Amino acid sequence: MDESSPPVSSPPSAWTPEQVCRTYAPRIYHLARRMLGNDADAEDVTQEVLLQVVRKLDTFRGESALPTWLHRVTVNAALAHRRKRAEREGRQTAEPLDQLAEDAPLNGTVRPWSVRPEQEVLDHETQELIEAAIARLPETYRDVFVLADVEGLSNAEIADILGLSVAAVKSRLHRARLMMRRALAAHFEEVAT
Amino acid sequence: MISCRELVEVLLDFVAGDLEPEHRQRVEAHLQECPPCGAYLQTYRLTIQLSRRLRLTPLPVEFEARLRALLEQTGTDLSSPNADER
Ligand SMILES: [Zn+2]
Repeated sequence: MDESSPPVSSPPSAWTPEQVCRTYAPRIYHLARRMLGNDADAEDVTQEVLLQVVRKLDTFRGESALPTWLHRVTVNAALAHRRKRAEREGRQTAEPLDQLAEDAPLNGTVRPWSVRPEQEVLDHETQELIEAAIARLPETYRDVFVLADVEGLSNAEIADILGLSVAAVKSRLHRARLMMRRALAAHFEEVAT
Repeated sequence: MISCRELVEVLLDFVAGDLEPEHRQRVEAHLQECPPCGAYLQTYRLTIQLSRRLRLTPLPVEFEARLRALLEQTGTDLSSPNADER
């Protein structure tokens, strides 16, 4: 994500609000939107988190400290937002960890995909397809999947941010990948025929 | 030989390179003999690789304008002492 890397010339404490906005707003917004599945909620979270960033710029020792902190603050803000929304709508936030239906590659039904991940930029259709599949994941799995496979955090970092054991993170991540794989297979196997 | 189902259960550790060498060899032996599991592994890996390639699309223009205005305002507030106090 080169377009969002910080300007190297000045320390974060010297950044203008505009630099902060340009550098971090897209990252915060997309993480929140993928977790919450909703533009308006993502905007609220982005606003809230950016204000915290601006207030705390002085306390950052260097640029490298910010992204870790930023993930944590954004995830916490998104989870709080989700809880509030659930209370308003009178429903439970925590979904039961449903048992995944049998998804083993039995009887030769698994076919390779006709997709080339090495292409420089994902085409618009593929991008939309993956975003839609993420949005359909149950929240419990979606959070871990987004942090691991979209944001690229380690299992230990995710465990720390979400207050889970590493074993729980790995288990949820694996289930999430199986659900994602199945969702994408419906598309990519069709294309192959 | 491990079953297809057992193979699927250890895919996360397998693709991360976290399996013990002996366990890893049994998975590789299964993959040699079972094309469906080979395809399954390929598509499991692709799922991860494609998700890592998602781009950050630009913010909605109207939202970005609102954000900037808000941040400018906050910057001004912060420069006066005790701006948060009533
Ligand atoms: Zn097999």
